[in-house]
Amino acid sequence: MNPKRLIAILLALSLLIPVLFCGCEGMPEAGANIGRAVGVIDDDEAESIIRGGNAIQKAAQDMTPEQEHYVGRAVAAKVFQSYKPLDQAEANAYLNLLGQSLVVFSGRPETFRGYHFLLLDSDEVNAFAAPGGLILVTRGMVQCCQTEDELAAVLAHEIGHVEKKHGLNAIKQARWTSAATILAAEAGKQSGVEELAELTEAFEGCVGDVVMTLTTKGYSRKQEFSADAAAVNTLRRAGYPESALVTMLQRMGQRLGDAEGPGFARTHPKAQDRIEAITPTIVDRGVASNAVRQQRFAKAMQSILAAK
Amino acid sequence: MKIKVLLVLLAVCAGVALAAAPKMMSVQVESSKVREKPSRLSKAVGEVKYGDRVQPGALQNGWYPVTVNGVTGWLSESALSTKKIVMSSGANDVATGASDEEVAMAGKGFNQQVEDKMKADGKLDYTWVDKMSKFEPQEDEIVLFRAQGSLVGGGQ
Repeated sequence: MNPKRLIAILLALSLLIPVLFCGCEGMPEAGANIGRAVGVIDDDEAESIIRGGNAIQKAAQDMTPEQEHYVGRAVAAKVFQSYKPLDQAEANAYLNLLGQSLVVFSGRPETFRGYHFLLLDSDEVNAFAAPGGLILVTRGMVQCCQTEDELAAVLAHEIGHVEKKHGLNAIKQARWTSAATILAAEAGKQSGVEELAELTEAFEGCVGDVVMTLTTKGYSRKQEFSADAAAVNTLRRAGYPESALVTMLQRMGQRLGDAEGPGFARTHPKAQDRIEAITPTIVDRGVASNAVRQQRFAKAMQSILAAK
Repeated sequence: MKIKVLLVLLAVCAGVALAAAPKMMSVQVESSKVREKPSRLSKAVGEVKYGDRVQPGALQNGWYPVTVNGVTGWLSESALSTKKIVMSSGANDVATGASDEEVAMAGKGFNQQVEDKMKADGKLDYTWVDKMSKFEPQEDEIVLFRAQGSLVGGGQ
């Protein structure tokens, strides 16, 4: 092999190995500097690699879980302006038990103040995951589920969005760049009136971006597939049949048909596309549905299911 | 040319070794339980708070082995950050101008003060946000819920 080519491959590996195994930041810089030190790349090339590696300053990466928590609370409050909460203690208590049973096995079991779940009084088939773990599910979505396992699949998908910080990714880069400047200047002290007004404006902008994506624009197909993949892992680890995600999607597809109405139909890829993407990853371990799970689901969601 | 190749290899190995070395981490959630085993449903043997510093061992399936205040156990990866979290302003790291990638200031930016302003300005009603935040089943309830439903997952 051409020695220069070999060096180039080794350099590429030097960039990749630590990132793959340690998830460390700053590795492009280290790799570029190694390349510059041994003279296989010049200063301009090294600078270009460093710039490229450091350019991704997204809200999802920069925001602390504490800041994410406050954004998430505002996102949920804003969703409540359009969707009324369903004030049913038993159904919400059950939803939270089911949700927490999944959270503890998710890829991100701990957020700043934890996950909480709530039903929304809407016929629309929809569910929302506010950053930090406030998860909202409509009556219409519960009606798409025939078993606890299928409702678990819905929640596991939403937990997947929180785990992957998809909500924060909806914050526009330009918005975050200006918000980050205000945050940096603010230096952690109690803000004065003027700074607080600036900060609150930046906050509202970020919250607006997330709400717009959750309720109107939808996540990217890639993000939806990635939340499905996370859901399969969570379901598997928690002991639920992964195939529940497929049966839930089938029911949802049937219910929505080709309708272009509000809710999931508009903000999510078609159910069939999601089924095709997720099916190869599902390992059938013969987890049968269970009478106790079925009974408690039917009991807790009685009034919602009866109105179907 | 062979020497250069060796140099690059050495540098790569050194980089990997450096990246794998144990380092101090900060608790990035409000509080987190130190678990007897690497599982969220395992017995809690201790507790850490936002900003506490720990020196964990090697990450194993999403859990770090730690010893905190003489107690040995496990902390979830999601509870820890490589950033140093500074609890009050005026700390040394801030004064020396450490970058945002290394240091985060607790309570900075999007915080309770901003939320209070949103409320004061009448822009958002947090009543149900506060209500739902109190929906928090106890761990023994979750364990019972799983047992009754014959959920025997393999864990993490």
